[in-house]
Amino acid sequence: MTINDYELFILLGTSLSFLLIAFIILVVVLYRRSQLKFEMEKQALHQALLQTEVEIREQTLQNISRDLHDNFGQIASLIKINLNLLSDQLSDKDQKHIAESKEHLKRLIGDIRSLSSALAHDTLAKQGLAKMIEADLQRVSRSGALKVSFNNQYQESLIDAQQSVFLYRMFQELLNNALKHAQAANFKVHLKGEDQMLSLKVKDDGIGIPKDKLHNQKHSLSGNGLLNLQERCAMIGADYSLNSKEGEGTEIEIRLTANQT
Amino acid sequence: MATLIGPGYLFLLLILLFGFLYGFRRWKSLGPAYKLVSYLLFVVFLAQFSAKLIVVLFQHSNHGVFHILIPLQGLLYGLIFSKLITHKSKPSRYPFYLGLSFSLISIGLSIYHSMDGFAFPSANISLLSVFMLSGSFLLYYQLIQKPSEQSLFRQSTFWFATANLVFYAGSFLIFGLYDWMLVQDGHLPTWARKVIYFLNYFLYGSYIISIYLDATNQRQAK
Repeated sequence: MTINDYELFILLGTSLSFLLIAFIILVVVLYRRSQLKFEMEKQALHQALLQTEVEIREQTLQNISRDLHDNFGQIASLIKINLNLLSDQLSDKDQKHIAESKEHLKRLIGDIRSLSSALAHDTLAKQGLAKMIEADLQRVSRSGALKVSFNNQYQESLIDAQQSVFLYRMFQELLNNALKHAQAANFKVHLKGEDQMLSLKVKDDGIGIPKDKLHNQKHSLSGNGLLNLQERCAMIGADYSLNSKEGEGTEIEIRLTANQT
Repeated sequence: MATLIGPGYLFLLLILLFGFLYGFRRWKSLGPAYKLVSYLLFVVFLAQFSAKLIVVLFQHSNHGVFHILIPLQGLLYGLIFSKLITHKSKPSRYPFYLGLSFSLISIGLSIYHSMDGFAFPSANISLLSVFMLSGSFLLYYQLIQKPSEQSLFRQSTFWFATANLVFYAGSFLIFGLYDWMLVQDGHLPTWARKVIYFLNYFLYGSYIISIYLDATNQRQAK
């Protein structure tokens, strides 16, 4: 084999090596691009699924709200009318019982109405976020389960109807968690709107979230509560911060920029 | 014997030995394609070992061994590709038929050339290279078409395809010009032998990586 043949072989070999390296790099780049596309499609599908789930949930709540108002509320009102008719013909002792029952019934009708309003998202559109939150807090306060305080510095109409529904449902979930799991005595809510930015801060003085559950968010709060919160925040472009120590309560703040219309 | 079996060859045998032993050890965790890769390593180890024995013990040409090995490799590669390449989410049978056709052609070529005694099967290797390169390109295409969340470098198919691409592209170049080199020098130049060794290390080393990744991925999937 002459020097020239040898050089030709080296040249061929080197060219082939470069070609192979270039080809493998191209495969890696194309794969990465395809992977990103796949991830985006998956994310979009996940968002669409979440959206559908939220819509179904809202529809279910709307139906429950209508049933509560139209059926249970009506029946309670009928019972109240009957009790009013009865009361004149009874003894003082029985009348006292009837009066007590009427008082309970009045409270029950009030609660059914406010629960029905809380579940229906069109009430939210009519009354506004702050009033809905206030009504929920008042209901909890009346029950004596928690001492509540509400600091409202929010002007309505900063955020759109969909963002309001999401934020309100998140608030309801946080309130529910405080009632169910936190063993708290006090629950503070601070709603603030400023320069297209809305902030909802809730704080309780309960047992806090244990460290291991905080790190494993899928199993913290009520089942998958934190995960729900995370997903809902992502869907309306909000972000949230969580501060919790065992025995020192939990503070969660959701910050949201109003949609530009 | 140690001087007759050079360190390069010994290292190749060790890689093959380690490869199939590792594959057999992880047998239960392996998918069907990588079980076949382990078999392939075993077959290649047996062929390489017996080829060396023939030279050392009988001082006889060992080219005949490679005439048997290559059709067997074609058949096994056909089976492996048919497990890895899917059509409508099902393993495709076509690569197996292609592998079978290649084996038959390779046997035909060997018989045809055997009239002048068994020369090194460079034509068979070149033909096998074309089959393997096509298979690798198909595997890459499939990887790009159906990406997963996993990094490409953590996927056994990528290592298997890359090993074949590099080895058989190199082999195609060297063995395509094998006869010409023999005419020029009367034997294969030392540098060409070194390149062949390097390509072999890369091929079988990457197969071991792919077996390891497949076993790990299959275990995680369970």
